[in-house]
Amino acid sequence: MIERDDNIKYKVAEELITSLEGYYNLVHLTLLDSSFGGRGSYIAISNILQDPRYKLKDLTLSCFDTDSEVMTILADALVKSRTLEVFAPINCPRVHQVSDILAKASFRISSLRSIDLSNSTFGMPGFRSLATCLEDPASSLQILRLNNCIMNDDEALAVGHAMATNTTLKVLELDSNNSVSLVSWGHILVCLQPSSSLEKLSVNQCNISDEILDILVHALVNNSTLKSLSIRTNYSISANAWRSFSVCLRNNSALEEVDMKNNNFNNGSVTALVSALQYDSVLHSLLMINTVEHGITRRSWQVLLNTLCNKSSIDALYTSNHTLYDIGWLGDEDELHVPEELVSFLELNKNDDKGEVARQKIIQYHFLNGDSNIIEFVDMEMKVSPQALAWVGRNNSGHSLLYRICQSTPSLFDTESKAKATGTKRKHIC
Amino acid sequence: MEDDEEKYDENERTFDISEYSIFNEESFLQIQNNDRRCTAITIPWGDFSNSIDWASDNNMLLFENNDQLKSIDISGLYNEEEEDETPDQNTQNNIKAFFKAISNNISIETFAIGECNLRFNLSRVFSDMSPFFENNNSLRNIGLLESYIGNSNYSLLASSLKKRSNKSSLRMFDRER
Repeated sequence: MIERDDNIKYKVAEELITSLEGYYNLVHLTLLDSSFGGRGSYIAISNILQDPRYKLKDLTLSCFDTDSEVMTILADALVKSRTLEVFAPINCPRVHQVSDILAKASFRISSLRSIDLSNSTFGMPGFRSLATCLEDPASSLQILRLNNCIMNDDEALAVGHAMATNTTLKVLELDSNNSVSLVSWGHILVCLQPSSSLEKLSVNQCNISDEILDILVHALVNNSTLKSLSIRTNYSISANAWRSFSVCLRNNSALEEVDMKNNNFNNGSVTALVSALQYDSVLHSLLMINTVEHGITRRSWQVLLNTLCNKSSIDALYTSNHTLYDIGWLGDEDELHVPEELVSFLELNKNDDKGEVARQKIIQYHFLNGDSNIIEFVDMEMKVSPQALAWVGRNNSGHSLLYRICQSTPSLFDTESKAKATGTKRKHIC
Repeated sequence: MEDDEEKYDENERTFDISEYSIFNEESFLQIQNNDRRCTAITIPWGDFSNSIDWASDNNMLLFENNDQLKSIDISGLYNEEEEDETPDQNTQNNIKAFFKAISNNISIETFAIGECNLRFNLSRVFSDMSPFFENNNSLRNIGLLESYIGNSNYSLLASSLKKRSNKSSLRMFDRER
């Protein structure tokens, strides 16, 4: 009965794919449904792929229930495709022989820019094809997703060696590959060498150890291309080892977002990371928090507050960090004891105009935090004061200060003292 | 620039409904008045038991007379997890009438349904929609997302796509479940 139902289901799906015959401008085709598991469906898709009249660029399809014969038909068609740029075969059978056929063909698609082979368990033949593709200078592959591929050490080494010469890859996702040794990680992380063009690396849930983190940190210090790093849920990294990550936060000037949620932090590691944030950094997201048990105490919050807005002087305020605006989900701020000011600093930092962020912090926390600093305007040289007043009154956020300066500096409106100060004489208009 | 030279952006593959107007009295009037401000609507979570009677003659013409609407997203026609909770007959008929009302529109470029359960008397609802799939020359994107469609609707859609006169407009077909 089930078999009969499947046959009807497959027949209908085949009918639907066949109905797309003649739709030559179809660019994006996603078929993620168990109905598309029949042989007829794959033949219909293969016909689209190898017909030069079609312009299909993005294909996502379920590949479960496929045998090696069907996979060979699809693989042959993939190699003949001249337009496919994005390919994501989802739910490939966990059979090496079947997945290898697909992987080998995928890496021979000349126009391929992005491939998602996550959750497949292709073996060494597939990884060798991947390595060949990565080493090929003519390859246009930019996005490679190999999440949960159960990569073993030899396979990881093959990828690592190939990464040494690759200059095209921009995104590499290796989440949930947790059987890779320190040596192989050392080779894979060559992808961060200065000549690479990698912009996004994801190694979530990879059982990364303190030693692997150390290799990563050293690679990042000299890297100037990586903008996004995701290293969530790696419990093997000890809380103290995270302190070493502060070295790359201090020295790397390219990273814009680091996602390190669900890791073991303690007060010391958080403080070290937060203190390392430079005022001229481009890092806007340092995601550390997602549960109430993140181990951040009042002292760490205070260090973060000070990093974002050091009120000790104008210079310190100016050189505070004005880029960080996301530290993860704050949830119940009261429960986390998040200082109210921190939320407003993070909000303020969202402004792309960093000069304006610095100005607002200076106005709010240097001049409006008590009257004592307003004297700086009173004592200011007359030549400078128009520029300073224009800076203060540039927009609404400075109007209160402008009002208080006017109140505190009546000489601004005393024309005699102004004349004396500038050495000019008043003209009398008769 | 010719179509085949268009640079493909992987991010365009998702149906982003964040810019859509929620279908309400105001957008209803905008559609009725062919207002150019209303180009995309989303009909969320079972709004078909409300006061709009889609079977009425005037409402049947609502989408036919509008040529400003470019995108429509219908979400949550009964929750699939509550299969036993059959909607009342009036609601079912109203949903069916709504699909029929859309069928004569010629401006919609993106048609998406998400988290919908096309069972019960919706099991052949694409039959009512056939003029839309066959004759709307603007249709570029079809999304059938996280929804139960059923064999009959699949067959009806296939038949409509086969008969469709303008095969050059369609860019995206997205079926995810």
